[in-house]
Amino acid sequence: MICSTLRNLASRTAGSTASFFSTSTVNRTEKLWENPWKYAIPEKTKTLATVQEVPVDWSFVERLMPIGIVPEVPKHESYPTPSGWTPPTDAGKMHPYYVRRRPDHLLPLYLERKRDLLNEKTLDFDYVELVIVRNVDGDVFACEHDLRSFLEEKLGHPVASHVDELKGRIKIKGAPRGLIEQFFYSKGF
Amino acid sequence: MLSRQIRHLLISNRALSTATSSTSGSSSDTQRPLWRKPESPFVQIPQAWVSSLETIEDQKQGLVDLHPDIFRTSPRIDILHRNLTWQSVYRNVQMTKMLTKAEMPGGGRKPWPQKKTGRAHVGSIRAPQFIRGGFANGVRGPRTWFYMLPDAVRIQGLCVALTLKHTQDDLHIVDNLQNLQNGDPKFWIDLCEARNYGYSVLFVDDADTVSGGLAEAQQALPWLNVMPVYGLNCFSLIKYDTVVLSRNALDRIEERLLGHIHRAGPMNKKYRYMDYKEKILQEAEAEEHPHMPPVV
Repeated sequence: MICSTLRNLASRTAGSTASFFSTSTVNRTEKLWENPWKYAIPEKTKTLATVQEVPVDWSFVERLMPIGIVPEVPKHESYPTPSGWTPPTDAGKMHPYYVRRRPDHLLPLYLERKRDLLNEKTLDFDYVELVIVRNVDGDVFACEHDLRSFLEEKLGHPVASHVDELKGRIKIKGAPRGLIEQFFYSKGF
Repeated sequence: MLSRQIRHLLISNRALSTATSSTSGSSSDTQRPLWRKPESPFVQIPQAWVSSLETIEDQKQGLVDLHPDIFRTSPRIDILHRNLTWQSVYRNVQMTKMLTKAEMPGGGRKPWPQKKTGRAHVGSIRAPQFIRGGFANGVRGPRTWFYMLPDAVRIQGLCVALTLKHTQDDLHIVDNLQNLQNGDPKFWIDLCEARNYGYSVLFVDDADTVSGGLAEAQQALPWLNVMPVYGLNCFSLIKYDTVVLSRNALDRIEERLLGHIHRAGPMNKKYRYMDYKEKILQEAEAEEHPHMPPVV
């Protein structure tokens, strides 16, 4: 509204023709009807916005972003930590076998619940809980022998175990995972 | 994103190491910093020769250390088998639909009465026993064999394939694959013969495109192919007799695989279509060629 009034004022003051079509269009080689769209729609001009980089401290944002890669464990004053975690020591490299830690710096102990026989009294399936030790390099049988003797001494009852040498896996039946973890921490793995 | 973090760590390590030690030959990287080397005394660090593709004879420029987690894992052929079957099967789609007697046109009426005609007892003209009748237990409708292997299995599959290639002397490292001088197919045949490359060769480079002699050669020879790092897969690694990696490709492969092995979060995340649906549907948004349809 204001623009149109200004334009009218400008045209009046300039003294040029007040008609919508200026005289210059008639003198141009291209006629109006040859390219009606050019004159029907107003000309669009693009203006690119200017960019200015502002130094911003993104640390407040970055500390909230999710972690991509597991970081190194920070140094504690004493081990084991309150949760019971111990870092691997050099004593672990003295044995004929080595148990590699997971990328999360934890011991590679996993639980498996396998279905056993059907209990005829309760008509429910009985389950067997196994502890699996993975990532065992070197002499897996020696590792299994040491582990089994340690567990049998502590528990008092025989413990069943299975060794898969190609995969470096040991399956233990009848022992809690805490004891197995204690064994591996004591060895320095 | 993960590989970028590793690249920053490696660059900082390399800066520290070069500051202390004097710069030896640029291509002999025997003391290459291996990120998060396994501490096990039973793991040897594998090495490979670095050579050049400018001459027919193998002019070895030096040795390079490879990361044992990738190039010396345990040879789990069962995991490799899972990867290969998955790759060959997960894209299968069956469009055949065999119509049952209910879906066939016609056949609503009993063609002849039950008794006294002497003919068989028949309910519809489109029963399976008839010519042009429906199928009783036919192949039913569009069906897909799509499934996704867990990330951990796929990563281990790649590591196992690379380990097998390296231990069986089928993996070669080369300093550069771009802008090679000689594009003559005969030169490349002689080169591969002299170096005992085998029936087929796969060149892997970091970049998307190849220019120079290798581009000309791979156009002329069907058994010689080039691939970017992001196209690396178990099937191609096993299909081609020899795999030749450029130095940049080796660095990038190690970065990415190690980034995934050491990533924070579970590796057994189940594949859900809803997590990827938006990404899949927006796949071709940026492609606006005036004539060709978008590549999806």
